[in-house]
Amino acid sequence: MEIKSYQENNAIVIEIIGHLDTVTAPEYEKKMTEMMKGDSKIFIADCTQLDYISSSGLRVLLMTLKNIKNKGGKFILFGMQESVFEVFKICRFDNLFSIVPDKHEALKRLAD
Amino acid sequence: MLKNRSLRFKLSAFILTGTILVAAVLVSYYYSVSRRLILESARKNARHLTMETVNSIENVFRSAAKIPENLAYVLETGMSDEKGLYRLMETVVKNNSEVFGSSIAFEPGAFFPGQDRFSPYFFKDGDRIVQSNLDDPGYNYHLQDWYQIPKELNLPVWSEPYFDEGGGNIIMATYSVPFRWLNDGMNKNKFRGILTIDISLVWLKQVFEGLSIYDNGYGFLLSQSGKYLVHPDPDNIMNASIFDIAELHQDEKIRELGRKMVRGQTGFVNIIEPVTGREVYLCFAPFPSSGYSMGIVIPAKELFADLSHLNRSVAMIGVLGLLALFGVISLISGRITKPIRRLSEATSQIGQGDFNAVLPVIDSHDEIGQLMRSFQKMQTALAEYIENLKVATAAKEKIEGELRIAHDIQMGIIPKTFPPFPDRNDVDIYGILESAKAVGGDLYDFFLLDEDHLGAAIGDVSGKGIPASLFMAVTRTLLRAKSMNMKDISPGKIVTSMDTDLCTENDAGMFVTFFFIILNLKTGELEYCNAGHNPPFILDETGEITALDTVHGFPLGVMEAEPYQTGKVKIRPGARIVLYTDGVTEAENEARELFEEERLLVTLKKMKDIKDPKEITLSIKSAVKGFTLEAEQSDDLTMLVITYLGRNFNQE
Repeated sequence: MEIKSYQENNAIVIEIIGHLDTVTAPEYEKKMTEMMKGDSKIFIADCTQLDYISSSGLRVLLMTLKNIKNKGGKFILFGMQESVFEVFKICRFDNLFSIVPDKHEALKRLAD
Repeated sequence: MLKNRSLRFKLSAFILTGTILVAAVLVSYYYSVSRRLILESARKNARHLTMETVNSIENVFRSAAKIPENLAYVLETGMSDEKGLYRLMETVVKNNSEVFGSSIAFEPGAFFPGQDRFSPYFFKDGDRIVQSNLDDPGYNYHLQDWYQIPKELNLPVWSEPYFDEGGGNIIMATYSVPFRWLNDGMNKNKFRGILTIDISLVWLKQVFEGLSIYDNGYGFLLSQSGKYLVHPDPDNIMNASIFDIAELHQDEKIRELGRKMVRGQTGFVNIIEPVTGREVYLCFAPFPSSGYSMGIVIPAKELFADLSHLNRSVAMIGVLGLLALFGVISLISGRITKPIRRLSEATSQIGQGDFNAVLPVIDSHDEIGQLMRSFQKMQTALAEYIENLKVATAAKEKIEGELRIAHDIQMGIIPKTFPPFPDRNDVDIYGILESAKAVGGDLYDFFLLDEDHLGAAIGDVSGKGIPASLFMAVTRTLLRAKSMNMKDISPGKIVTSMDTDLCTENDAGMFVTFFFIILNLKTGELEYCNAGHNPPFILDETGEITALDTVHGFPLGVMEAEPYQTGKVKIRPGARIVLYTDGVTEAENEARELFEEERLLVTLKKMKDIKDPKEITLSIKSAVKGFTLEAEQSDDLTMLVITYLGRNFNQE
């Protein structure tokens, strides 16, 4: 797994690339914790290259969501592949997270 | 050869070899130059001595020769008186100590006309001078060599030396001088006779004995024919010639030497003395007047005695010096290599695992000192590292031990006895839980709520390891507690109640996907509640597969939301409920492909007529294993298969 991040307007865009599972979840958690230390409250997860997510992956995403909400911020996911979205759907996480088709939608959602 | 020797030995060997080589070259050069110089000097000295001897002997010969020459002059100037002649001859013999005898031999009729032979002879007999005549009838002196040769040559001639047997057995030589008529008109310049003097050669021996030629060197004298006149071996004198010796020993070099000497040549040669076999240097030169030749013999051994002596001394000093040098080198190299040897011992101790081996203390700042300090650092680092490793290993072992215990506890809380209800024939159950790690987060459970109701659940905690296993244990405990204590129970109610408890104080964000069913064993009514779990399949008695794909809410522990609802279906006897976690559908092979629902469905279709839940479970498992092959198991593999046989079904 690889994680890249960049600033876009007032949001930090996080690209999650590859598998997010038991093995890689701690690494994601560590990077997220560092990014959360900054002033930014608005995060956008680019899931276009996220090939697989396990329950461990769901847990760390859920943690991210909870932490951001505690800070009073926003967390939006976009570009999710069908197989990954299926996992979200199974556990109803599609109702929990803000999931949009693309970055444009994500930025628009933030503007609302 | 030197490979296995110590540093000390090698150092000593190299330095000593080098020193010996240099010394050998120096000594041999010095020796050869010295030898040449000594030989050159010996040659000069021998030549000088030879010439000196020749000259002194020549003087004697020359002065002796003067006597008959003067006498001849007297005769030539007109001596014709017999008495006067006798008086003259007697005076000559008497007054010249070296003269042993003298004769005057006339040509026929040259003194007394008509007398064929006239030859008065005066010689010493003790103190007396005796007169005699050589005109013995049996001895025709006109035909003797001493008379004929000077007459024909018209020159004075020294005879071959000879033993005078009548005159006291001494070596003598005769000098014969021809004389002529001078003032007789008719016979003017005509040959008149021979005048002789006999000279003792005994003194020659003394001259040669007086020569000092090293310790065992000597001189010798050869006659015109090569006969020994003087020689250290008395047997040779007058008895043997140099050619006899050459013949006796078949020595061509001696023969050549003899020829050169007889011919009157001068030279310096290196030969082997035939009689003694020793190597000698020989200097030879002729006597011009008599045709004799002398030689001086110098034994090579004595010539180079000083040099040999010097050589022995040098060799002795050299050996002693080398021994001393060896000692010094050995001492120094021993001292230099001592720390290395001690370091080597210490490091081999370290190599055997004794990290506290004491390294030798070295104050020097040379390479050895640096090496030692590096080793000290290494030793410290090594000891520290090993200590850390020990601690870490111990900690790891402790954790592993604890994990094993955790695993045992976890496995202990899920039912593992199959068949679980051997006395019941309306239901059969089989389940497996294979953790990817020592402890996993999956769970299944089943229990009878009452005589007719079977509760069964499957769940998957997010994450793995101890936290997941703890969360799983909590979930399972809550499930049992809620199921036992709740009245008017339904899966939705139980799950909602569990969720409320699990959401409380859940800071770690842990959650568990959970699927819970209650099966009425009498009617086949199946109530279920799905909290974000993979939908189970129902393989009915005809082999048709349906998924219980209604999801009633988030996984447990995510957040409290609307209460979970309960779904209801009815199954007939012979139906099989297949509960599983994503460890089945998301099992990964080496190509990172997932097993997927499709493959599970294909497997289930083959199970159409199989009622035994164990067989179904193991078939699915082997299908998964056949797919993943060597790939590492990434998630817990958990299945629970319930075969509903029903009472009616059994009664048939």
